Amino acid sequence: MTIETIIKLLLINALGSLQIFCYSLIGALILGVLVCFLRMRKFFLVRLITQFYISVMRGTPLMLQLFVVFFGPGLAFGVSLGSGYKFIAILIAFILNYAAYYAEIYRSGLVSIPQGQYEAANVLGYSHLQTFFRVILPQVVKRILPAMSNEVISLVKDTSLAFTLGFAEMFSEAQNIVSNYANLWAFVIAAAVYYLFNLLIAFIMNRGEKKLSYYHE
Amino acid sequence: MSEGMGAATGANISAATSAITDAKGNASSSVAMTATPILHLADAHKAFGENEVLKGISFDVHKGEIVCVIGASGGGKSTLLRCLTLLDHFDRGELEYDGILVTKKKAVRRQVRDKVGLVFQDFNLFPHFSVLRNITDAPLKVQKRDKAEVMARAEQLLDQMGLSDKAKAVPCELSGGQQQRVSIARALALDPEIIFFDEPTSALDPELTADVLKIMRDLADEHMTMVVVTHEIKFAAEVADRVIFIDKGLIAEQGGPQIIAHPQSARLQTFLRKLEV
Ligand SMILES: Nc1ncnc2c1ncn2[C@@H]1O[C@H](COP(=O)(O)OP(=O)(O)OP(=O)(O)O)[C@@H](O)[C@H]1O
Ligand SMILES: [Mg+2]
Repeated sequence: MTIETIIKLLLINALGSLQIFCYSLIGALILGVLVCFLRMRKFFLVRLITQFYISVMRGTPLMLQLFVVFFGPGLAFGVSLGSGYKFIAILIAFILNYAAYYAEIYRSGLVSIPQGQYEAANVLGYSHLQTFFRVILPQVVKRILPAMSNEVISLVKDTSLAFTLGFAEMFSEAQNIVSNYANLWAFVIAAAVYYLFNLLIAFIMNRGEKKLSYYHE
Repeated sequence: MSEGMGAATGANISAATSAITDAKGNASSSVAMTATPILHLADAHKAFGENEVLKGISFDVHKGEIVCVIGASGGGKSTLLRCLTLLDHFDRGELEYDGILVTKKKAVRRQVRDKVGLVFQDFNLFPHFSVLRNITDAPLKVQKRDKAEVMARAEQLLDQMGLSDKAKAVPCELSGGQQQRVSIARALALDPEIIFFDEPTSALDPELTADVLKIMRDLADEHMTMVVVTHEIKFAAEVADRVIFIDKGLIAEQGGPQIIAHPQSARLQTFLRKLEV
């Protein structure tokens, strides 16, 4: 098997990885907002449940969560959800898991904004929405960007966990090539692709951080 | 300076006349009518749990008056200002601005909020906005005023604060004194009828304090209505039309600025003596 063929096969399957990454990222970014919102409610039962959800997501392996989502419905209710469910299960597991992390990052950003910012906005007559979108959010974004970079990069790497369900993404293809053709280049090239993609993400996030570095505190 | 003293005596006389309204009848009640205070506070109480911070504070502030509030740390001065600027609310008592009774109704609070400005001890500027935007954002986005007019006013305020060359800077590039002057400009840009200062110079080095106090003196000369919580006793003695000394949640003594040189109550005497050392 030539290197070119390997690259071609891996890149074709990288599309699967990219799909998992993009959908999971968007889903988790949005669900994270909701989780963060619930986590910060005054009503303690809501807070408690959300806190429990977050701690389970963070305290158990993502691979195990994948299995639960994928096999759970079949084992528990005897339903078979068809072959299309594999991709859905992967997205559900990834989104649920990463939303917990993102929510905690959002929250840490929110609570780090001094109370005085809210008070100043209040006295100046800003509405709640104006206060949030004009005063608080821009500062939160700046504060959480480094932590978000880390989590986005780890999502890229975690897409490889989908191979445990036999989903066609780059890592499972690399695994195939290595076991069927005893050609270790597949791993090297897959590693290079992950690495380059993360380099790109780091570059973009860095640009964002630089753009927001016109002020501090 | 002589103007300040004049206003002080004026305020004392009007307070005296309204006090004898009942005895003198119509003539003096018409005097009281013309002078609806900008701020009227009666019997204000505030507690945090068991901790009774304000135990019945009453005072009026008339247009153009400069009132300095002094008192020991933890005595409830900030709490008073926070309630007066609607950041918090009194548990009991009556607060009126221009004769409008402040209730919990949103519409009333919005209407009243337009009348009051607050300058914080630690500035609380928006760090991500330029100096100019800190000053113009609320007039533009909250009051929805005309952009050209807001910009012109901002330029004039920056000039007044001696910060014309800092319009494009962000707060973190400024000294504390400059930041405080921006925050004063920010409050003034909304054209409040009364402006509150909560220890505006206590976060500043002594050499920066002078700049901010000068700005406040200028405002006093322009007859801006101000309520200033301060530990700058000299400033209070020079600028105030009236000094209010708060102790243990009550007004223990109030009067013209002369009460700083000649305190009547034992408690104010003790307080001032402690400040000297
Ligand atoms: N949000 C709050 N919750 C509970 N207690 C509070 C709160 N705000 C103030 N207090 C208490 O109220 C009392 C008065 O505080 P306040 O800040 O009004 O005093 P102050 O006169 O402004 O003091 P300083 O000169 O130090 O600024 C203090 O005992 C303080 O602990
Ligand atoms: Mg205080």
